[in-house]
Amino acid sequence: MPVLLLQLCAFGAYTLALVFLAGQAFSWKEDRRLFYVGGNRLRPGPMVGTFVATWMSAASILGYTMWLYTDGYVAFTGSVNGWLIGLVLMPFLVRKLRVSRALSLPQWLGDTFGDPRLRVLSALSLLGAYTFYIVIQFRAFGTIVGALLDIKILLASSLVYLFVLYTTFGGLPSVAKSDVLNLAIITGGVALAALTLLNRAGSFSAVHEALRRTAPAMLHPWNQEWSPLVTLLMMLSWGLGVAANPQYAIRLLSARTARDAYTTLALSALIIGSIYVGLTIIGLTSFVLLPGVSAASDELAFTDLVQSVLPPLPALGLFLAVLASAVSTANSQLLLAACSLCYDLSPREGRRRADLVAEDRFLFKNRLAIALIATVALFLSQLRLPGILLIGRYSWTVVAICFFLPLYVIRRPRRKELFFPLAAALLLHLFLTVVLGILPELALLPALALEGLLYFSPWRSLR
Amino acid sequence: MRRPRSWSTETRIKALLMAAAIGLTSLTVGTALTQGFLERVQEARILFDNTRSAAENLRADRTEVLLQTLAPSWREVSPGQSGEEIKSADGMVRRFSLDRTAILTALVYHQRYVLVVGLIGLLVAVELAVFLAYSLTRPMKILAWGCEQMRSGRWVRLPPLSRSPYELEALHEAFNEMVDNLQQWQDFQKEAARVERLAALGSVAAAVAHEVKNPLASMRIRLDLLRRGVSPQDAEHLAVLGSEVDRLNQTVSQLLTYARPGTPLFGPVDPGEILTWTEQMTASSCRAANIRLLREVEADCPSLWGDAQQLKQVLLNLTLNAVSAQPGGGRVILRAFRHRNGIALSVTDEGTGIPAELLERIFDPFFTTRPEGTGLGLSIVHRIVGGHGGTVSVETSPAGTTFTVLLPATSAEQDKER
Repeated sequence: MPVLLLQLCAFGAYTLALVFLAGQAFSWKEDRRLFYVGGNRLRPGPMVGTFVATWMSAASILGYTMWLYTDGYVAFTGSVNGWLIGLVLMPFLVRKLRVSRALSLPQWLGDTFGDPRLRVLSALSLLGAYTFYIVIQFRAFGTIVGALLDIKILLASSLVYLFVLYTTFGGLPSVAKSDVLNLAIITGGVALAALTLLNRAGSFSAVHEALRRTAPAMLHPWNQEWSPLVTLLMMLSWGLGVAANPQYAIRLLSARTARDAYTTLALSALIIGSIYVGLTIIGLTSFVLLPGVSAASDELAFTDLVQSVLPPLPALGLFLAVLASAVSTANSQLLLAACSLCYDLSPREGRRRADLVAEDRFLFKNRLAIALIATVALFLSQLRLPGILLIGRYSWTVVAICFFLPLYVIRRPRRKELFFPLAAALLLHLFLTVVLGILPELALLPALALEGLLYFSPWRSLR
Repeated sequence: MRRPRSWSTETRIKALLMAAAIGLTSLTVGTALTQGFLERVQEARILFDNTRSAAENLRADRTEVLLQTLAPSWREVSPGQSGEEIKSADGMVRRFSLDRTAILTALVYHQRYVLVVGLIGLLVAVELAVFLAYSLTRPMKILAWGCEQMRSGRWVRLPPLSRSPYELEALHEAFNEMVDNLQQWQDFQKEAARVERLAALGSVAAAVAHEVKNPLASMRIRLDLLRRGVSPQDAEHLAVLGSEVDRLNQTVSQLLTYARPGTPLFGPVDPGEILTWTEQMTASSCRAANIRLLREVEADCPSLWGDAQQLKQVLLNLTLNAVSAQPGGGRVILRAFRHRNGIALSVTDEGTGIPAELLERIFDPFFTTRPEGTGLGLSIVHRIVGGHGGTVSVETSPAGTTFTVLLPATSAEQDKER
């Protein structure tokens, strides 16, 4: 069977699987709580599915693999370690979040600190950060499929755009259902590719041995160009970003019980760890088998590399994993962005308890917002923007500035005292990254320090 | 709302449309591929036949370039394998077989845009199916919710539908009309029950009042006779007894007025005159309660058609209520003005208003919040005004209350009689 036909059949099969298995559900008894947080009734199965599938973004699979392929274990130290630190911190959030009946993290922030301005500021930040993050998913998948099928990137991105719209229109229940399918594809695709490569290379020890001979620097956990401190700071920033990411926080809120949330975190850690091991094998083994692959972008280099080192079927499995990760992350982010736009930035919606008719109208507005934000992201994905990891860094750091301190550090919230420190921290981050050109994750730390200083300082009464 | 037991209409519509979209897309793409494949095979065969004919006239060493044009649809096979032969002029035989995979690969590459657009079309069709099902079933869901609310005793009106099929709009309109009719019917039933209750109460009250009134009159006379020649201390006791007997007599009179208001003697009545009479009758009460009474009569206010005595009773009762609603003093405004449905007489006070939960009961007999009240004043007002074919309405807020009596104006014929 021609490879091209095989690839098209695989995308067709994914489409049908999504349509039939994940089926879009506009629940008969639908309200905003069900739409945003699954009615706080998600069971551990779908919870693990949606948690891990959302975790594994295109940036994780593609960006991490290519970073590993280029720089070796420093990629693990700089990114995966950081992400896992974030995961380790999450159990501390469970009780704190679940005592609130909030439907979104900006609402939680506004309610906790008694300041509606905080809700608006954080919702605006989330809307911007997630719209750009969705661009990453569209772009990664569009570039890969464009190169595979030799078609225009816009056409390829439109495919993922439609997948994402289809799964997001039904709210979190629909997202969770599709994420179970996506997780199966991600796990299967990565495992198949990793096992095939290991089979080709002999064993992982053989890969290490080959690296020791040909490129020993790749085994070094700290970057040779950057100081270990910079790598450590980067790792810390990624960790803070993950720990405070509303995508995961909202899933902890959606769990049926706190116990389910803890179970989800434990099982997810295992699966996430296994997937990273698989990606690490793929990145390092690919380098041993075929070093020196480079292209105009990470996405193109990844496509070339995978097609060169893997037989058609495992390669297709890995490409489908990228597609599934793009869809699963983008639909989650799209839902949160729509929530920020329709719920957090519309103060009237937050206050009143609507009847079914008003609720129906409100959810319809959400669906329109989902279509609008996705369309904007699709348009942006066709523009010349910085690399996908860089966009991801901007998004994560903004999110971390908004939520890290309130979620993890501040134990006794004081009314209306966080808005000024948070606004100042966001401005400082903007200044450091845009004007001084400092990496976003490095700029995050002074921004967080300023936020903490202004909030906890004894001179705060002077404001 | 109960959870549906079987597949919803939305799911059925969605499934049907999705199946149609998937079937049509598969059929279109499948037909395009099959037809393209067969055409390419046909073209390859024609090419092969032409090449074979041409090669038969050439020597083997000169056929090489010609045979290269057969690729990629044909591939040369090894001498032992089966294939179609091409013989050159000098008798050299080479065998070729049709490479269907290569043909399919080239076809798929050529048609890749069609295939991807087909996939996109399928997804768009599925999305449209979902939204079509959504737009068709939402009004039904709202209707089911409306019925559920009605069943729970909550009156709801469904919002007007826009951009929905007219059948569903008609369904919503029919539901709203049904709600309106039910509401009217419920109001009517309430009023009928109230009237029945009051009539029964009135009959009993009239009988009791009649039996009590005569002994009361006798008691009053005896008290007046006893007052002569008693000590000042006893005179004071008798005065108290007398006032109590008077109060009892007043209550009984009111009860009789309520139970048997008498047939109104209709005739033209000047609203200004009623207001003036009321002002005079309540002047002392107003002074005692530190209340300023204001009277506003619209210029050229036409006359009313009613019983002057009964209407005076109406205004008197409303004004006395307004006075007692302001124990700390204030203003009471009496107004007479034209209304599009007749003539309105209103009494406004600056009291603290009537609580919403009491509004429905204020016209019921014996309902009062004042310890010294009989609870008959407003019932009498309601009954008299009803007998005149008019209405009484109340507007109340924490800043005050206005009772408005709307009565029919004198018609042209009645004016002539005048």
